[in-house]
Amino acid sequence: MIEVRKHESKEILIKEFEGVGMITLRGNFSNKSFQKALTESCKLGVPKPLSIKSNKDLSLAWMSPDELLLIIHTDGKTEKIKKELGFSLEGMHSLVLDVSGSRKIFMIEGTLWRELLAKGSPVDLRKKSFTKGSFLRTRIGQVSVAFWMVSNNSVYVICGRSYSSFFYEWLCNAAVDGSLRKFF
Amino acid sequence: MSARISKGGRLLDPSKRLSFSFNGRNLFGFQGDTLASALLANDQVLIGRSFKYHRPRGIVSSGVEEPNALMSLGHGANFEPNRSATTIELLDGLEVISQNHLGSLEWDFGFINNFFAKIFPAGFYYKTFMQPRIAWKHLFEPIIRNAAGLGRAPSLPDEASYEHFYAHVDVLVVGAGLAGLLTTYELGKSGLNVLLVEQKHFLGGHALSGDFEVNGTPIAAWIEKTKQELANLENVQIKKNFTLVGIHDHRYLIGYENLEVAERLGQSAIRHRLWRLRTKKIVLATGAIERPLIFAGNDIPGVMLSSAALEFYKLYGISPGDRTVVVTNNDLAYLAAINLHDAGLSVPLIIDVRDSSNGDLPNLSLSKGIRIEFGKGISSVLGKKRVSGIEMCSLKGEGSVQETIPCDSVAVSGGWSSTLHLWSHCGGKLIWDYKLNTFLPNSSKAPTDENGENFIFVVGSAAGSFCPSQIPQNIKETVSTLLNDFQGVKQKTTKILIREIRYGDCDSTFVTPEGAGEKLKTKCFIDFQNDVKLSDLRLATQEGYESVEHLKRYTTLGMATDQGKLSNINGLKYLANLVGKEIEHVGTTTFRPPYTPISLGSIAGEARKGLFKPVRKTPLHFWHEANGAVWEPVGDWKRPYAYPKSNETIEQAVAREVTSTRHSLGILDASTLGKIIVSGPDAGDFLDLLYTNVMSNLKIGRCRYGLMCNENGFLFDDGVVARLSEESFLCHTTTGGAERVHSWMEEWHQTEWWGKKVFIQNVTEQYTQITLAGPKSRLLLEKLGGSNISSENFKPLDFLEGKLAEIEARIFRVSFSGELSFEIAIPSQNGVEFWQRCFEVGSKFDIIPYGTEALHVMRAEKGFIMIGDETDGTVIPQDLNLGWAVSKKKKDFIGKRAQERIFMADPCRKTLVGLSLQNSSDKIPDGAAVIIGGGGKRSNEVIGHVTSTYFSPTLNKPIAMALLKGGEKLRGKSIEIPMEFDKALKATVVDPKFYDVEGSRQND
Amino acid sequence: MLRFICPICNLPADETELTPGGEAHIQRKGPGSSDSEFYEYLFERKNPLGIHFERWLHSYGCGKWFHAARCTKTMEVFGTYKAQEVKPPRHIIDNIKKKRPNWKNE
Repeated sequence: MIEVRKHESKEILIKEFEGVGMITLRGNFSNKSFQKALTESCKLGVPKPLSIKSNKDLSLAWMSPDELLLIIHTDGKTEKIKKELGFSLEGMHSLVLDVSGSRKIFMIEGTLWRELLAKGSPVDLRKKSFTKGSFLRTRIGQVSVAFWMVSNNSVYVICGRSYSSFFYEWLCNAAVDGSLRKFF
Repeated sequence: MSARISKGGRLLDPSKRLSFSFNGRNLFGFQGDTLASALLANDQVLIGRSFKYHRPRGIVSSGVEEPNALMSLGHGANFEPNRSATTIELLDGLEVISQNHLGSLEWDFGFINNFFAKIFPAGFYYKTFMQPRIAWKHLFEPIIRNAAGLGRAPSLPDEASYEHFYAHVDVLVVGAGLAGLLTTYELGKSGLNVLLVEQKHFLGGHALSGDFEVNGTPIAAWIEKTKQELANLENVQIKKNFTLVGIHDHRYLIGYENLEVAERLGQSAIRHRLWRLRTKKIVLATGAIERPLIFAGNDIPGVMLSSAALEFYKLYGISPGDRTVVVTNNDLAYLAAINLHDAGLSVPLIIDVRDSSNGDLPNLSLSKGIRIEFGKGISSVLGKKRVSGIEMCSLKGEGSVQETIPCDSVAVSGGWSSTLHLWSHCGGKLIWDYKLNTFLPNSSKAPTDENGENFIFVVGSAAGSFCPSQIPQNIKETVSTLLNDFQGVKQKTTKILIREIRYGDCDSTFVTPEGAGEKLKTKCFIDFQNDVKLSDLRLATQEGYESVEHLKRYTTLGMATDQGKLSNINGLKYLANLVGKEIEHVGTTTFRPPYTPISLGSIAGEARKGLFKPVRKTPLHFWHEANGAVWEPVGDWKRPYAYPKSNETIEQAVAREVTSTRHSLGILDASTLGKIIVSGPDAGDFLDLLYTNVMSNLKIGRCRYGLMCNENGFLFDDGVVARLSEESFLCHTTTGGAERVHSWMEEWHQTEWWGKKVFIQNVTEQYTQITLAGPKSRLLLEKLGGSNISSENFKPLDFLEGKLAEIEARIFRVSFSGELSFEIAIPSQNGVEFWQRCFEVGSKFDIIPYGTEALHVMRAEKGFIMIGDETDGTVIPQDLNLGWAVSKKKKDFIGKRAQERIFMADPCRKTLVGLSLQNSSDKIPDGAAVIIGGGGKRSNEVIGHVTSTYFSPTLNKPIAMALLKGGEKLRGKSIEIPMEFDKALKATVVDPKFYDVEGSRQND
Repeated sequence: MLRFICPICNLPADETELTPGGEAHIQRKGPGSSDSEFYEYLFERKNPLGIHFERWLHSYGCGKWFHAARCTKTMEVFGTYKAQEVKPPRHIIDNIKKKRPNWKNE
């Protein structure tokens, strides 16, 4: 995971990363063998809709009823995990793709991160609605994104690689000093 | 004169003096003032001119209903026209200019006096500017355009920042008057998440001008106390300067937060914030707006609403005049009389159109010795730019003057209209209340949400509770109903006691005197901003405009910036009289969002300049930027169009890029091409349904050019499909088509052929795709090393997965340029490294980067089609001589049935041909119409159009492709392309393959 | 601005996160169909003022198509259901009939 750039305002710290290992996993979630393969290779079960499961090395996010996104927090392990998954899913109707180059990941830190995202996203970001473990795919401004909480004061946002420089500009603009007022 | 006095002024901070300028004059006000109160404090009674007649106008109200006090603020990039002075919080250094006058505000050359006004009646424009037609363009339109609009448009781009904000709340309470505060308090105690919004810069609404007590605490102190208590509740938020401007379907609301003051004080980076809210329930505590009474001269500066007179005094310490006559049809207006009297100002007379009133307020006035005349009215207001007196008459009768009373201010009240615009936005209906003389929400025709349930509740004077003492009970009941929809939330009622005041019945009179003749009626204004008078409404109904919607448009009643907040109800009442109906049968015009004007900046939000529209960049973008690329937008992408050198024009650069690629080696960033993986046991079958040709029999390691049609049979995308493995295909799409084709595949898979076992994954962004084209491309790849791409081993349309320069790569032998060419897909992260390696190694092969235009020129030289150029949504593959790529064997594919329709096989369909210009210095315009040529009188029949046109540096002549009726049959024939001034270009129909027809170069 | 609960991921999705797909439950007509059948399939669409069955795509979310039963006059939503239902399911029809007793499913 390489920090590409960062932007700091009074209330918000934005960091952009690339090289984060990501694997797209397609398959039939209700299939016992699929579940078993997943538990064996990732030590994580299938997450519920709109949620993400994490352990020390990996996060597993629910993208759609037949798609998961595996995020590999430890550098250099992607290829190995992909091979393991491919091996354990052999013979099952499934698809494992390394998509590490497809997206960029942003970390937004600061107590007002909800207010920042609320400038562009129509989803309910209240503390009672969007919690640790929630994983939402939505839009921010005109960019398709997904996000989940890292801690009470920080959130990860992913977007398509080609949109990342536009999105970075969007985030920096939204983080301008004097534009964030506590709401949530 | 109007002036600041030492009493009243609940909102003022007299220790903070603010200076501002009005038409260049330096004036002073205090912190807490609105611009309107500050102008009145400086005796600025004349503040603007009306739209049509340029009549002198004064401040009529103290709120958003104000029709007259429109101002231009600021200068340069901060200039803003048409702002209402009653809604602007005064700020130190504010620059204000009045509007709509030719010459000065005092001496306006545009003024149209009463005599000339008669020749500008309702519908004047419709009737006058009809004939002769030529005069419209050269005479009428320029004059009207010059007169149109109020303030000047800003001349510089706005430099302020705006933004949107999305929020979800349980309950939104609109309006922080007594009812809004009490509701919020009650809901807040129950634990719900509540947002209270108030359009003004203070809490309390009309109640703050009152003198009653709540639970023994004077109202102003109670408001302050309640504000503190609400601030301590974590589940409650209060926003001032926040107007809820629209209620839309499915409980979607638009709010407008005005942060101008905070912005100018350096406390906010944002000027206006547009809120996009979703709530479960909404409580409207929007209060009521006072209506004027109508009498001759009611537009003369110095005539204002009684509520405005009261509020200016109570909140801002303003005396509206030294001598104020009050004229009313209800008890509430007496509050103004009593307060002004108590302030030591003269109230010579209260004219009450009613026969009597036994309310507490009239009795209190009498006990204070204020003279009241019942059953009277105003015949005329005297004065021109300012009130100098009134003429009293009997209400019944035609207005013969009984007494002339000198005064410099008139406080008027024609009753109160509950503010129900928001109730109506989403379909709520209104019902006329004859006792209260106002429309009230019709609870049996309430607006409904997505569950078909009522979601808007109305409390306080908006619901007809005009007496404060009624409000606590009203709220207790409403909150109890509202909470039914929140499971497990308990109501916690606080006991609220407000002493009852007895009101006399109000009266439906709205015009004085009742028998006013035409002479008076032409001076009786209903809509102050647009100069609509009683006589105009009479004329309109006489001419047949009896429907309220027609009347509005014909007379412009209620079409001004205030949207008829003062004038609508009076207009409807008068219309009802004229057509002999009750007001409830006349109906209202439709209330539409926004409730008050909002800035265009707030609607745009942050989407301006660089953030207007997303720009997609490939991993190599920065390299192109550093190497002087000029850009072409393709969808959201930015692609290099060409790389002109410092001494080159763009055309020269394109020609150089084409020539160099054809002679040695060109490199192109093709990363934007769509790449979609289709994988699963049924992948081949599935693709057979989507492409016109067969994909299932493609061999592993091979590529095939494929076409996609829609169900109409029309071609919409093309690209190369590669078979990666038994179950896995990689489908390339056009740059603009990646998302479209991906969702097209998903749609068919999810909604028609969900039984097919395939997974579809868009991997466009995963790869940097690079095209190496030209006779030396193979040499370069060999030099990079790692894969066997020799001509024996790696044939056209082969593909392999291997390594190049130690980097994992997929290599496709495909050509869109007609040269020996390889497309290489590298994981995005490694793209830059690979691209740079190509340049390092390629320098000995004269490698140059080429852009999209060179790509297009080369494909046109080869007669290859381009989606969007040769196709326009009505073209089938057969039209483009691509019938070979449409399977005849397959039982079904998308578009097959459509292509069986007879007109798809019509020999008259336009088909693709090449055009060779007879004069090589000519340029064919893109999209030009083509006609059959041939001396003498030209045939005007258009036989088709030009789809692509370029100058070919390879052939050193212009080339073009066209879709022509008859197509191939015209080969060798001469056609013409008509140009301006009766000229025409002559061309010959040729084969669209202009260069290397046999394809020996790409197959080398 | 409409909002539908996506039946796939259960998220109340804002209209700006969705893509409309027109009338639901249209049966595809391919090769072998008559000209009039095919014409109907391609072009004939209902446009009722009242209850309508529609297709929506949760494009900014889970990427799945779904169906919605909605009143085009009042915007009332009677339910959303999977795109693979070839006709409105029982519980949707029941809900409509409960709220609109005079409605006939044509």
